[in-house]
Amino acid sequence: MLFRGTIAIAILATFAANKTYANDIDVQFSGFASLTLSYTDDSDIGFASSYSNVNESGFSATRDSILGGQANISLAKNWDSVVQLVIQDHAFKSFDNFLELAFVRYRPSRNWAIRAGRLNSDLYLLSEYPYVGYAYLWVRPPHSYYSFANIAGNFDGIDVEYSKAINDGFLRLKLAYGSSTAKIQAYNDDFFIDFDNLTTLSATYSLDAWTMRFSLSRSNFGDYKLTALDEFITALELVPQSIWPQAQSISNKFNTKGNSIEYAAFGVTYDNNNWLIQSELGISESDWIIAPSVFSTYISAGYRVDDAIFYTGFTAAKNRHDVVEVNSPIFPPGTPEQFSVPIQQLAVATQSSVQITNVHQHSVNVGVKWHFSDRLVFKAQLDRFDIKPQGAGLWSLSNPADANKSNKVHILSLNASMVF
Amino acid sequence: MLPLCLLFVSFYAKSTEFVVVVNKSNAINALSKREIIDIYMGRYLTFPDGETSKPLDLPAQSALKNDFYLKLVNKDEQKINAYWARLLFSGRAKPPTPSASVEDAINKIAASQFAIGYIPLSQVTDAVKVVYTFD
Repeated sequence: MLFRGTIAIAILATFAANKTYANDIDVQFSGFASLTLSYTDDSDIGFASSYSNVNESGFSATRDSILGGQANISLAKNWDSVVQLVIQDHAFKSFDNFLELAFVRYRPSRNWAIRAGRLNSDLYLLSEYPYVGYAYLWVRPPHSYYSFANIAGNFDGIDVEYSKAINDGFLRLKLAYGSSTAKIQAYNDDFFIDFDNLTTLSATYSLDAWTMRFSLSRSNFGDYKLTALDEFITALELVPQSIWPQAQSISNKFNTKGNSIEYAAFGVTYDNNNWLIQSELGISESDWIIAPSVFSTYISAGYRVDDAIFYTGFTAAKNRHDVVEVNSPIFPPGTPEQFSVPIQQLAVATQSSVQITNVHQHSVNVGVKWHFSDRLVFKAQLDRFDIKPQGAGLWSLSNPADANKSNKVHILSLNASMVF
Repeated sequence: MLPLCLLFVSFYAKSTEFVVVVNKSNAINALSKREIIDIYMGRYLTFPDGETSKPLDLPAQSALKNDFYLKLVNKDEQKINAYWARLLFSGRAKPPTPSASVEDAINKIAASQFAIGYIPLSQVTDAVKVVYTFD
């Protein structure tokens, strides 16, 4: 509630600063945009760059198109505020879901900064600015790594940062605490998940051409809203233990109660003369089956020739645990069909459900980023994704029964990204 | 003609000797290159003594601006623009305020006790105080 209040203050400050002529309050507006036309060649499987966005196959002009606006407000010496709104193809459309940043910051000294309100996480190298295409090499952040990460990209809470120049390098340490609600859609129904007690510790060190970041994060899964999941869990809990002993343990895996997720990530960037090389490696461990435990990584290398940077990269994501083996219910002789058939159907649905969130994919890409002017870049990128059987957890299958099939998907993207 | 122009721009850029200047009332008398990097790359928003710093840039896409950043952090303006897009839209810091010309930068620095800027050594006037000279 406190954080919601801070968000409201930050937004009010934007409007107040816009109307005031007080000497110590200054507001600056800026923005960024990406217009992307992309095509995927497999109509059985829908693609979105983020878990939170609409999955589509074929041509799309909205899939990676983004418009962002930001207000930087200087409130007083040592106090400022930032509000950022990002319009994109979110599956769940609401003002709250488009509000990326709304915080008030206090800097008690040049080494310390404290922020409260809606904050961006710096769990990963790009997680502070995943929507600013102008600022990075690719059309979108590497899918295998950032697709799921984006759903907790911002949170309502507080963070404390300490920064210090160390010899020729610069170190930033940050501790953050808060909560977040991911608002997505599953099979045309609203799907909300609360991330409670979200705690992140990160360390970023820059030295000449090198930037390194190491981070740890932990969160409890809180309440969720998804009618179909409620019904599914209730149905599993109603199955008699004697017929299907596994039903209760599977029910616990689908229920958020008492479950948590932990992340560890390491990233490094080398940006020197004509070379730009970046790689990240992340590991998650989750008790909740819908947010799987994943190992994910990517490496990308770009080389600049005049105003163009040619790049190529490899990404991979794989579940760290095997898919849960679903045992068949065993019915005593003479069990009436009206009792056994629904349970058999529930078992089939369960088998499909435990497979559908599983992640196992890798991809390669090639592309070019062309600096047209100091505010506008153009990009062209071709991705080839290799999705293994029972590995399409970051995608949307048009037929969930196809979870056992493998898919090879090509995505061609043309993009214009600008800042203003 | 174009290669000749590029040669001229390149020669001009390499031959510029920069100084970093502040308002004459600023208590700071000297800065190290490290401290200038901290201010111009948005790492710290204050001078080492804790006073607010307001860095100024020379005009975008000018040889002077490009050359200054090459000498400061070995990054050209293209990389600096991407760097500042990252800092600005992650909410961490705002980029230096652009000036219309060297004269405009000198006037702004002379008028604000918090301002800091870089200008060619040959254009230094009594209106500002030199706190660093590039080798």
